Amino acid sequence: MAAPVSPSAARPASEMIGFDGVSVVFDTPKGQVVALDDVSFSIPEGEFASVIGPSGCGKTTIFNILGGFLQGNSGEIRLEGKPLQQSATDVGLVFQEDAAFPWRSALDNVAFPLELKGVGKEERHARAREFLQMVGLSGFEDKYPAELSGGMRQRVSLARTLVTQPKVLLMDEPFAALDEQTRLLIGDKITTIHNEMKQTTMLITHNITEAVQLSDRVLVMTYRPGRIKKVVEIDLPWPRTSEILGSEKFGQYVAAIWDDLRVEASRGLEAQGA
Amino acid sequence: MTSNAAPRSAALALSPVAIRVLIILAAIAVWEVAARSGLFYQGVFPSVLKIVAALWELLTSPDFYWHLSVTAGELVLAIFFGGTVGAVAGYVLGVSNYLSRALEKYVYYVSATPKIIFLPIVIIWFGVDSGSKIGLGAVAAFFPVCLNIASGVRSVNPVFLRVGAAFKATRSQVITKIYLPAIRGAAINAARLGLAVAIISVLLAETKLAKNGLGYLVTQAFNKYDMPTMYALIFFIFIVSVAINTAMIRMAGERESGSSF
Repeated sequence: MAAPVSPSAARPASEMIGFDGVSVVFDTPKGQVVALDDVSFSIPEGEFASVIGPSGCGKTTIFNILGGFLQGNSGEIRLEGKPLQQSATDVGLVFQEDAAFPWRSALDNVAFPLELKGVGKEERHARAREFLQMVGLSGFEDKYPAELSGGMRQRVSLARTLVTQPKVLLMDEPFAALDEQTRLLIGDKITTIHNEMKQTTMLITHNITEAVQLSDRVLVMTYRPGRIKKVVEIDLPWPRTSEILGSEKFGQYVAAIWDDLRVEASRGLEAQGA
Repeated sequence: MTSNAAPRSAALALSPVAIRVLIILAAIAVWEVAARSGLFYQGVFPSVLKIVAALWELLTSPDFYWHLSVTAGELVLAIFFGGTVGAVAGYVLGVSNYLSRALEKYVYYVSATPKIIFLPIVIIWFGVDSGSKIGLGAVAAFFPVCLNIASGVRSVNPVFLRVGAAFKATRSQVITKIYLPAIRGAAINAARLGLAVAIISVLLAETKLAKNGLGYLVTQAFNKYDMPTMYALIFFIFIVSVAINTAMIRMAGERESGSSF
């Protein structure tokens, strides 16, 4: 993991994403819900981090804050050492929902952000083609989302975000709706892309295997109020493929994280009256 | 398919298209029989042949095309003004929950009233000539366009808008590159319904106070007791309206059914 030291960063030197005592409280008809409570963490440049936790723990709140859809009530959020609001760092977002535009071909979907920036047709198609190839969709350029599988559509969305070459890539459970085999294979693809592009990546997920397979570090969250319970550094060799799932060390990581998560997940279940 | 079933269905069933053609032929036959039976006034129930002759006379007279062009021009302007204002108002109601809750009920209630009651008002505002026809047609087109665009805008998948925001799309980019293609079906439907009510209003206005246009021709034929010409005109208007409507349904359907085959 080569993480070049960015001179502009305040603290720690190579930090890309920083949360410092961030709290978010929602007013709901049933009273206040503390989505995030004093959440602090720091993700170094180029690292792949996963945020894992039970449903309702505030994972998506982290995504929404970094994506600019939501503001925290207190605390500081930094990108490359600058407060989020003043930051010029490009953040690419991949959503949980099926977000490929059904009225555009795969190629034109991927070219969409370039089109917004006024990139000429030839160049944006060339770049879109390159990124479709990167996600393994060469030959599907002219297909429309209705003609693609769910996994393919999600890869179109991923390519559409990657084509802008963001410094930070945020993904909110992008594979939650996919079957297990597809999910593992896309995981391999994600690893390859991350090794190539080295963008700082944050993956929101509720899947432990996925988190361990893809990440340098895993942030385990508690059920309400959402706090960071533990940060687990995954010390498994790169490059990793889904074959690593069988290894003993992999199993130990999964078991350790589940140990922490089980308590939170059962609290979540009880709170929801299950 | 078994070998037993095939011949049976082939012998009994006519294709739907054949049934449709048969219904039209039967209708013409019934009409012709009624016309020749002597049970009705010849003038009220003219023979089909007379109607066809009248239609032919219309279609070969330059005068008819002048009136047709007047009506077509009024319609185009009515749908342009009513449609533009309706689409903008519909977009605003669609994106603003607040304005929609405050105003949409009014639009909804007024849309259910017959627009012809506004004829005296548009005549006072826009004059007895084409202006009042355009005005009434525009008022009529406004409502279905506004309500359909508003509901279309509301039904746009919110994640598409989040994608736009994530890529920092400007407001006009969001409208042209997300809303417009996303509500394409609703927009064509809005145009279709808007055009339908605009046709009604323009023609109706032309039958009241007018010196030209198809509606005027119909009234004139009626006043002269020239029934074959009146039926020919009605038949012509009917066919043109159906053709426009069908063409627009085709346009709307094209994309929705998968788009790229």
